[in-house]
Amino acid sequence: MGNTAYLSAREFTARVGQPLIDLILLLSIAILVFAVLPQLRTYTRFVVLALFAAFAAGWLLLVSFHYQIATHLVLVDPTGQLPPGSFTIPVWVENEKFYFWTLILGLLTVVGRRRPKAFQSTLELTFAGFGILTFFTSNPFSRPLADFHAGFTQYVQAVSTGQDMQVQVQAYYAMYGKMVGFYNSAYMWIHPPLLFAAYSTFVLAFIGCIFMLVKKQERYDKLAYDWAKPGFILLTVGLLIGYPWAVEAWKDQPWWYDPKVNVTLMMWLLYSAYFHARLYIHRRGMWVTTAILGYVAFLGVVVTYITTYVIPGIHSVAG
Amino acid sequence: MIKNLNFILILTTIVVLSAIGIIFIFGSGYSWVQSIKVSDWRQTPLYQNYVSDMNLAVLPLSVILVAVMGLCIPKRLFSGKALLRAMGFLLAATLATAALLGPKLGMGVLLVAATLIQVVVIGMTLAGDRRLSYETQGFFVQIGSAVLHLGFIIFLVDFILLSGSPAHLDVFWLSTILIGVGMVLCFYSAELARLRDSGPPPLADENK
Repeated sequence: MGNTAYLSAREFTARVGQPLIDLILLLSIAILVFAVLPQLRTYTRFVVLALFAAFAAGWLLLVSFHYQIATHLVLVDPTGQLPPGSFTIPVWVENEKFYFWTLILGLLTVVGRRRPKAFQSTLELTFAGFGILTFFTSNPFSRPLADFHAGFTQYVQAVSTGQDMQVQVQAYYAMYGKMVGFYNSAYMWIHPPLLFAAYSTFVLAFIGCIFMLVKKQERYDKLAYDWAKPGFILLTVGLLIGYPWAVEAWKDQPWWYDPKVNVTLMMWLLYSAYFHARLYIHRRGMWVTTAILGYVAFLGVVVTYITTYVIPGIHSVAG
Repeated sequence: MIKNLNFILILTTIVVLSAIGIIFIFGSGYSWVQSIKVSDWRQTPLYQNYVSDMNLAVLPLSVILVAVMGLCIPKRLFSGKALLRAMGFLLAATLATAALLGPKLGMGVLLVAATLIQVVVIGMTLAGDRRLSYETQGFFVQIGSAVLHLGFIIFLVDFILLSGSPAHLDVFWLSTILIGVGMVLCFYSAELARLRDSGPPPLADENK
């Protein structure tokens, strides 16, 4: 079954990942400190690059852990009716989600060129803030894939301790359902990453909208718009791709007007309103309206993300 | 006058989109409170009541949104009095069908008419017909806008008229492709025009 190899890979991920996440916290704090100390500000760029490198290294470690799962773990039907299955789990589930979002934000922070200095500095501070949040709220190395681990351990215990066949079959089907409908689902590989990529670009659009009101310069409107565009395409396509998945996975359960579905649609509607407002940005009052819609829409992104963890529902992990 | 009409339609769209967004936030808040107060509340009749109330709150705004979108479509083809006549005719046909056969079919009439007009608009845009009226200049942004709106109309047709049909998901994927392609063409029209103009043979100028 390869369970020993899996357990050792999990232990390795936690052992190597913990110093990495500590480093992420230190570098994030350093960026914040450098921002208030003018004599150190020139080094910020290097620290930002180091922070991104630490995030990327951590992500490669997670990729390696998921690869170990895919190659070592096998789910065997105790009745022998179904063929053995393996888990191809994407690297953006459970507490890896926020890490993945921050990783993309980090990429967008370090690859940008010719941005206004104030915008770039704010973006770097935001990236650092995301780094700190990752450490305190979404550390993927403290208990790697905790839910998956709990489910698989339950299945292994049921099978290896020779429990009653009915218990074994129940434990198998609990894991099999998740494997087919969630972990190995093709939608899982497309729907979440599109949304997280969208969320990352919306961070940049939001910063642009802040400067639209603070500096009142066209270049900030253009920056906000340039980043809202790819975000909106990714968000729209990502959401649409989620629909057939919802129909397939939740066919017997009520999911329409689920809290997460509601706030996700709200976010999309607000970005749509932002784009419509921007068509007439040079009309009286529309500059401010566009910028405020950009703020409110980003607030929608934050609310959408938090809802998963706070409000119970079919699309949530809360409750 | 038409410029103001466009602006009014856009303002209406912004207000309606924001209002639906606010209703969704209230819905989530209510759902949260109920999930705390009532155990397993999605399995109770309360949840059905909540869905009905949400439908009731969202429906009028959705109707306005569909109507505005439906009315936005003829403005590409018609102008001045002809536009007002076309809009009046569409609105009258929608209301008459809604009164006689129900609101669902009424919306269906508006959406099917909008689909047909939009297909004609796309054909004329592809043919470079100068009689069309767009707020923005340039081939890619115009065809992108037309394809994007056609995608949304087909999406609505699919959900309003075809939700129980075996073709539902196929039409859904068609609308998804149109929306995705339309957005890319619309948002990156200047870049696409530059790409097109960099290679032979040179075509018409593309404005941002």
